[in-house]
Amino acid sequence: MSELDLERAVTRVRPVARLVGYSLLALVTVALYLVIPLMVTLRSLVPNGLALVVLVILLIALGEWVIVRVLVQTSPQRETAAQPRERRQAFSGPAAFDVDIRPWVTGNARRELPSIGRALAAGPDELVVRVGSTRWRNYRGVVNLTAFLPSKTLTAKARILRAEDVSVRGRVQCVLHLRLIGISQEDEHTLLAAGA
Amino acid sequence: MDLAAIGVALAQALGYLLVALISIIGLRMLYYYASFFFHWPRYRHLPAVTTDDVGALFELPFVKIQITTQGSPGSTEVIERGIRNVVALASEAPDLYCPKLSIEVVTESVEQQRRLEDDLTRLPVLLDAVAVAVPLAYQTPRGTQLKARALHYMTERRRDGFNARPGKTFIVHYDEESVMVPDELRKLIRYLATTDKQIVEGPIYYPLEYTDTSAICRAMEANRPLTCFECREVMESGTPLHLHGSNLVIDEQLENELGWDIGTLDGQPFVAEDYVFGVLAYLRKGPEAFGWHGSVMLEQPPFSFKSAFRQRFRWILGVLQGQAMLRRMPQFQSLPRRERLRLTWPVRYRVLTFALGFPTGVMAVPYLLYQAVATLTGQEYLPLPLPVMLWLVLVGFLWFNSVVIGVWYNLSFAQQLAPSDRLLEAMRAVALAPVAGILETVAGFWAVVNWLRGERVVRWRPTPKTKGADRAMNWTASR
Repeated sequence: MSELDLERAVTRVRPVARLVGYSLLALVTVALYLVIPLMVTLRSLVPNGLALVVLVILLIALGEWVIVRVLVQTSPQRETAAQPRERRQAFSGPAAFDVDIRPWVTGNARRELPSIGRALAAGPDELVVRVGSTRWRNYRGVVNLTAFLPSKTLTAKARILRAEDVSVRGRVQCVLHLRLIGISQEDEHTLLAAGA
Repeated sequence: MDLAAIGVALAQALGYLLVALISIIGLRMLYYYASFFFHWPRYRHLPAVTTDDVGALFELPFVKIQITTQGSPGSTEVIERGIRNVVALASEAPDLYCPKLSIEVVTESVEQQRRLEDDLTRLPVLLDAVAVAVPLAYQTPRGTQLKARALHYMTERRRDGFNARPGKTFIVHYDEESVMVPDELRKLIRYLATTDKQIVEGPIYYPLEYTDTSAICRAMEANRPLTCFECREVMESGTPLHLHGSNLVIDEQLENELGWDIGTLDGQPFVAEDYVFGVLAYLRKGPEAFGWHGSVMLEQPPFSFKSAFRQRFRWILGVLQGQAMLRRMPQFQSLPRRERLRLTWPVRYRVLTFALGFPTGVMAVPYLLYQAVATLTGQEYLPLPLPVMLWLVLVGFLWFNSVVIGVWYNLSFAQQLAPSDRLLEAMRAVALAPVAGILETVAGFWAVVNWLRGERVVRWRPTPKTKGADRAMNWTASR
């Protein structure tokens, strides 16, 4: 086995070993604080060793079932829970990130200057971008987008779903709702987590 | 009397002392669990609230999200994380939310205010968001210091018309690291649109930056979510035995009326301004003003044991300060005796149980180990009468499950972790629970000892919010 293989094997085994180790320690805690005190208490009522162990385990299991039942009832269920991406957003990343945005063109078409904007992940595959220029109002094509994230710069194509004019401190700007297209899953994750 | 008899008598005395200590703590646990088992339907509002549901409400209140910070290193990043989630909500339906939401960051740091102001003007949605720096020279009429000074500064600005809005307006108080995901914000908005309560709170869980914090801190945070069941109980009964400063929502009109100018106690600033505010609100408005909104706020555990120790130390010291202030107030003295007792003794009892957790935890370990060895070696004995033993087992069960409950809630929101990692974290927290319990309560014990010795000097040193800031914090410089 090469050194690299050994390292990979260790990397694979380590989390399992840690899980086993902590599970054993957790069992020790359960034994010390619950199982043994209950056995000592009930021994005078149930002298048979095996019956005592079974009774103690059943009692503890019953108690835990009651607790877990309330926990399940007070935790968001799968269908009502926040979307995983919505939750992922909660954990890291800046409020928004800078982007430059320009119409996607091929061949010899004239290349326009990009607009500089501020973007935010807004839904599955979706971004909201605020740009200073109102020339986007009637544009409905595909755009090239470069996102300047803290960790890296990403380029992607996106389709404009809709555009709205807004007034910011007396100046008319444009808010674009975009859907990302042709972006790798890894890049999408990075973009949505905004460089976590 | 021979030495053996003295030893047995001593062991028995220690045993009964332990029973007494465990009973004091156990009774408090029963109070928590009464809320957990019998009133859990009131704890959370689980059905999803959609943007359409919010749009269908007859009238939406204006919601000002106020993030109050000292501006310490590392806080900007975590503040932006909270803002990001508000913006994410607003971007779901800008026409609906933007006219009804604003963000106000109140900081002691001019540098941070400039940086945030720059970011806030470039938000992708048209949300009113400002960063306000509290002037260095600003003083409240009563010389209030620390966080309450910043809070009162904003109150004074609002009284002068800052960000004034027509109609019902609520202020949602965030700490620097607080996060409310859009799902919970929608629930909160719906609650606020339909409530007549003026001071409301919700539960706080601690899944953020989870794996970056020390294992012992994660285990310590597992003790906290169960106390939110007590929070609900006290908020709905209208007796503010404790009030936390984040996930606290106050009617703007009431906050403007009361203010945060809570003064000082013998020249020392108050560190638990939230508790003091709650008490003052109770004295002025009575129990009807309080309520429970049930929307979850997410926060992060302290990064190191030193930070966690200081945090717990401040809680206890702050509550003791609040109690001392309360006793000196003429309004309090004019209350009926029964009401005075209701406002003071449960709080003292709570502090006592926190502090007694330390000697109890320390004494319980050798007792449990001895019991385990005796059982494993086949000795048959019943060290205490059967009812007492049953009571001890019940308290042990409740204590153990307070950790299970905390781990469950914290990890249920730690979606950044894979299921296998969450299982590992759960096992780790349970494994470390006895040590974490002792370490947590040592801070409360030390705070009470210091208070009784007359050492009551306090400083506002917020818990560092990034790993780097935690390492850089000079803990020896001050408390």
